[in-house]
Amino acid sequence: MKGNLLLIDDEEMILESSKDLLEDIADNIYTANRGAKGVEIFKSETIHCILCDINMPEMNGIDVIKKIREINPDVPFIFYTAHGSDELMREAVKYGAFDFLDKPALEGLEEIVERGLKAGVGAKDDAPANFVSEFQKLSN
Amino acid sequence: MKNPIYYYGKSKDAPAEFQQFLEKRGLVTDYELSHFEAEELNFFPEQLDKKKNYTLIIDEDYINEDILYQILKIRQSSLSPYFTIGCIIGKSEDLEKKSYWMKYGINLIGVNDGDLTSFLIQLLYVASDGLVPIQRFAETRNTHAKSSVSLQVYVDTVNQFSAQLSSDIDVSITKDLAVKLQNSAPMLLKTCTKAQSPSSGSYCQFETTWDLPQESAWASGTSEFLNWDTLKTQLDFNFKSKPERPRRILIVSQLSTYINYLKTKPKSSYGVQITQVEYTEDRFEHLLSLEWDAIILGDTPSLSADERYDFNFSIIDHCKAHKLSSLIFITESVAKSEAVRKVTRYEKVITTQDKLTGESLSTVLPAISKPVETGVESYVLDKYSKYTNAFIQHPCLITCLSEFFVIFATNAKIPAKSIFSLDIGFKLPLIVVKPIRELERIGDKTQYMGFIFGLSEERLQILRQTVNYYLQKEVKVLDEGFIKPVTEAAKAPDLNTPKPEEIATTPAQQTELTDTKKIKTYYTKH
Repeated sequence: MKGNLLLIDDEEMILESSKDLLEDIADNIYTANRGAKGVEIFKSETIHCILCDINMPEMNGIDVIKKIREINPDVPFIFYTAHGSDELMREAVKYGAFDFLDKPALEGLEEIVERGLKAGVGAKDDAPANFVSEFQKLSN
Repeated sequence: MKNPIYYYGKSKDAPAEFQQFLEKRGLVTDYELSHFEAEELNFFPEQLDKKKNYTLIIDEDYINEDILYQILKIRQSSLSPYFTIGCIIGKSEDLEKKSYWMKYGINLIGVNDGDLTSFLIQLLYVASDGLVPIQRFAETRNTHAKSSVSLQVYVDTVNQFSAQLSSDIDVSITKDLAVKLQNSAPMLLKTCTKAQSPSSGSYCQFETTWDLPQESAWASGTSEFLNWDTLKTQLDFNFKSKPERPRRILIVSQLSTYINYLKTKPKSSYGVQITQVEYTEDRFEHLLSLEWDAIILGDTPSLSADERYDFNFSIIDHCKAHKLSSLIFITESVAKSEAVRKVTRYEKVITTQDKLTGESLSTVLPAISKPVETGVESYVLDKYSKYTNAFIQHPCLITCLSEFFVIFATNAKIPAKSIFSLDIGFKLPLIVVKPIRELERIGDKTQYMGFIFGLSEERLQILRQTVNYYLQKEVKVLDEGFIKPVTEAAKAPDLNTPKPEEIATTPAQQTELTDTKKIKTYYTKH
């Protein structure tokens, strides 16, 4: 099982291109062009990972993650970010951001989303052994 | 609320005598004595009551590697301010060879052939930060003796080019520092190239790196200092030379978490230098400013989740701002490592959702204990070892001497509980304590009081007589010449050495000087 992905972005073009790029990675990809719509989809479908723009009108990425966390504290949440989103990014970390992707480059998109889906489907990636191996990697 | 005194020893008489001491001094309302003689001792309290001071008295028979390790862990953790540790040995002549125990964190050593009442008073005075009254003794009054005290320093690493020292006073502005390793000629440290305060490991106040003299300076066969070849031979005998140093880790957590870790692995050291601190402690800011290989951010229960994230960010921002490259472990984080790295633009962050516990620490610490490669072959010395008992001389002005304490002035800033010795013809071991009265500054110098400890009854007698001899005389020198008139007088058959009560000038002094009822040698009775 690859897992189901929810994409939330007010830019239709980003939604479309991301969906194309990620279709082989996820079982199902749901899209929403507004935060509120994304929350509705999350309530009605089984979602294993969310990829959401941090800067959106009305309901921004932080508002979305707050709502989602009320329902599910664990689902991996990846944010699209752009220059000048530093404060929002720090806020996102407090609600359990899984990772960030720079727009418009979206470098590492497939790899990050794949990891997010894997974590969402159930593979716990922060076991003590991993903690130690991460340390060893960083200390070399 | 009674402050605990824990006595660890086999003596059956000692607890009764200690209790008698407490009763006689009216201390039973404030102190409660417990006696332990179990095979396996554990000093770490189940629950530390920060309103109390904890006094440990340990018989020398109970001192072993495990006990010293536990004492060291107390010294290196947030437990340190609440603990005062005394040890009782049989003979004062053994004090010098056992003085390295003090490097682990034993504050005072009492001797069975000396005055154990004074030892107990000093211990409780230190533990209570001066609240327990001490006896009054006759003191010299016109003393302005230029002298020097011998300060314990700790040699951490040595190679042909440099040495690293830890010390309780700032020696960084000194040039040509002579450090005497145990039983050897001094080695010469030319100039300090790097200083940080307080030192990592929160073991000493200062950590300094020094250049050693190079070939031409070593070469002189007439030098009073060790040359490299001799030093190397000595080091080769006791230590291994490696191109690495131990990893330094700062644990920011509740004390109870760390204690639980220590209880799971009381004897293991993993070759890492671990310092634990609670973020609310005064020393936290200082510790944070040091270079750590890793900082583990554990439980901070008084912070809300939001505040905790801000706290974690502030630690990372601090490392970035000061160009430090510590690995930062964040526990109880719902955000993943990658997210935090990108937000903070600091690569060396690892997060985990898990809470920091004693058990998780004992899993993680051994795994991350690999030494740091330095690329330079150095002798990594065990600073607690008896082979590295090193001293430097520090100038001071002695302004008062009694059989119980010394008052001296120096421009160095000396923290309480530092260990010194003063040579007056024989060595007086000193522990710096809160003064019993207000001591004025002398020019740019601060006056400090040091309790004298570990003297045999015989030496105490010489000191007592010497102090009495000089009560009304001017004292300008404190060396062998200082005690000479008294020791010479003692040798002369027809000379009556002045007795304390004959010389004491006030009735109070007379009473104190004749109050010679001491706790006697219970130690040897078990």
